[in-house]
Amino acid sequence: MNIRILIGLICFVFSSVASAEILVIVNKNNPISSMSKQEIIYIYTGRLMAFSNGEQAQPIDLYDGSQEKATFYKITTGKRLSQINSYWAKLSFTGRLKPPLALETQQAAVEYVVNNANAIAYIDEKYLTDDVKVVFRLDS
Amino acid sequence: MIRMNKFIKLAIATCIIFSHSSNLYARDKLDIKGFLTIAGYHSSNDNLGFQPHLSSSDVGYKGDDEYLTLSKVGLQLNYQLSTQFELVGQIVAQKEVVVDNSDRIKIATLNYSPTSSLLFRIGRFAPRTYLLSDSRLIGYSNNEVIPNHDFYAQLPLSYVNGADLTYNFGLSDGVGTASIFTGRTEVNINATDGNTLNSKFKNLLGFNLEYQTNNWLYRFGYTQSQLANSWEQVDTAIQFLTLVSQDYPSPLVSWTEGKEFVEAYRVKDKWFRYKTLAVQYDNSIWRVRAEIGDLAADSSNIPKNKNAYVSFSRTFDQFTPFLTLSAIKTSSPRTFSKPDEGLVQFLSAQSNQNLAFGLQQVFQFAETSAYNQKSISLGVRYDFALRQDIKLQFERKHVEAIGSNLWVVKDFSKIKDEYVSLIMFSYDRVF
Repeated sequence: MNIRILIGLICFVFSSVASAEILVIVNKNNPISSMSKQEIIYIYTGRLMAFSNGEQAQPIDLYDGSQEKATFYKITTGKRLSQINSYWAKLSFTGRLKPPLALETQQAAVEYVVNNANAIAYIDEKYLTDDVKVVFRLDS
Repeated sequence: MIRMNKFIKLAIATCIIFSHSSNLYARDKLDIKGFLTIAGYHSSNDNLGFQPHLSSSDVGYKGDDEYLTLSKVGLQLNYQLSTQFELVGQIVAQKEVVVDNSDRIKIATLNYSPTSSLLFRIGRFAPRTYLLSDSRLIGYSNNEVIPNHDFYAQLPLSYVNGADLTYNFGLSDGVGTASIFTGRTEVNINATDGNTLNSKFKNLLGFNLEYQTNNWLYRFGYTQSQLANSWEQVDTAIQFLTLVSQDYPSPLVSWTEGKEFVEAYRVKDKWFRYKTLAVQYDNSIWRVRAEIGDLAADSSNIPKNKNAYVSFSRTFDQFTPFLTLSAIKTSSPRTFSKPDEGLVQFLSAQSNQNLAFGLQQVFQFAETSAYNQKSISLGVRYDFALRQDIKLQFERKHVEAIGSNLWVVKDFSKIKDEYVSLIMFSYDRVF
């Protein structure tokens, strides 16, 4: 009986992890239809603040306590949040670059993308609406 | 002796107040953020005084626990004027040698980005002379407590008043960055005898090329500048060197290389040239970083140095241990013939000055002015909370008898090859 409960718990945990797919979204009017992981990394690390068509990209982040943020950076860059924060501390205090604007909720991120043609954000797929376009799915 | 003063109290208060905030203030147009480092070190040598860089306000000998030199708190304000224009200001409170209080403003620029790949700045900013140029003050952005002493201590340029242009471009699978900057700067340098040398630099021009692809980063930097002023000690020496270097009729023996020596001895209007090449591999777990530098100068008063470091770090969750090996070496200076003793005696009597003593000082300085040391450094960074870390670092340095110019020497008669140990710690955070 105990083993069944344990197996059930394991299945539940893994099924919730699998369902928590993270999507990278852009404004519906953005002509970009898909992006590579490398392009997303470059935009979110400030190396190249543009989409592949040359249009400026405005990346949107989530607040530090967000699990989606930790997962997004771990999967894309391989870095922990402390490493990402350290990386951005290096760049932002040079006065040359600003880190992505961090919003408190994923709904706010979706809303920001809807209202800003150059915005790009990442969200849990449960927050996806028809008003935005998915350009990348993170394999967790 | 532990010295707690208002600065440390202010830093601790700042830390407590903002301990739960990730950014001080962030809205669409205005962004205010800050950084804090509380750090200290203990050195093991009682004749060589450690200074983290040549513009340090304090020097640490054996028995001293230095806290204020490395501790700092900084605030930065970014204000977006429009989609293309931004104002940036940064002020840093730390104990440092300043020309005046405006030196505490490290950044004051108007940024103009006509496209996403171009950035033009005018105002005050950090010169991008080497890999960590414009982020070396930010403790939280580095694994080490202080930037590598053998590499970064000799050029303590903290700002440039001028303009710079940065261009980012995609190239193959990676991203290239080209930047160029120009302007003027001023810095007070601590000489090895404890005297302060005010140095104004003009015609500062630098460029950098950087390429990042996947886990690799390659960077080349070149900076050149002219010293706009002279130093009092050099001017004093030039006066009697000029006298000795004149052509004199027989039976006096003229100093054949005298005029050349005097010209090489001058510092005003002399050029500095600094080249660096850096490579970094970072796969988020392992990071290996190596950088080599080459400083050349037209004046014999400025040592010509080659320096390098290689650092390895490995991240285990919250812990990042690191190991760094580094060295700096001064090239042998060009040797000059010395003036004839009879000539010196004759001129001393004529001018009623002890020229022999003055010449001895000048030649002794020329022969002993060098940076020759190598170091091994071991430490660990512990990211115990988001945007906060603590670090502990142990460094062992071998400083050659002729080669202690990065240090302030208490007694030159006791100078010899030395091994110096340093223990450093820091608490860093950004808010």
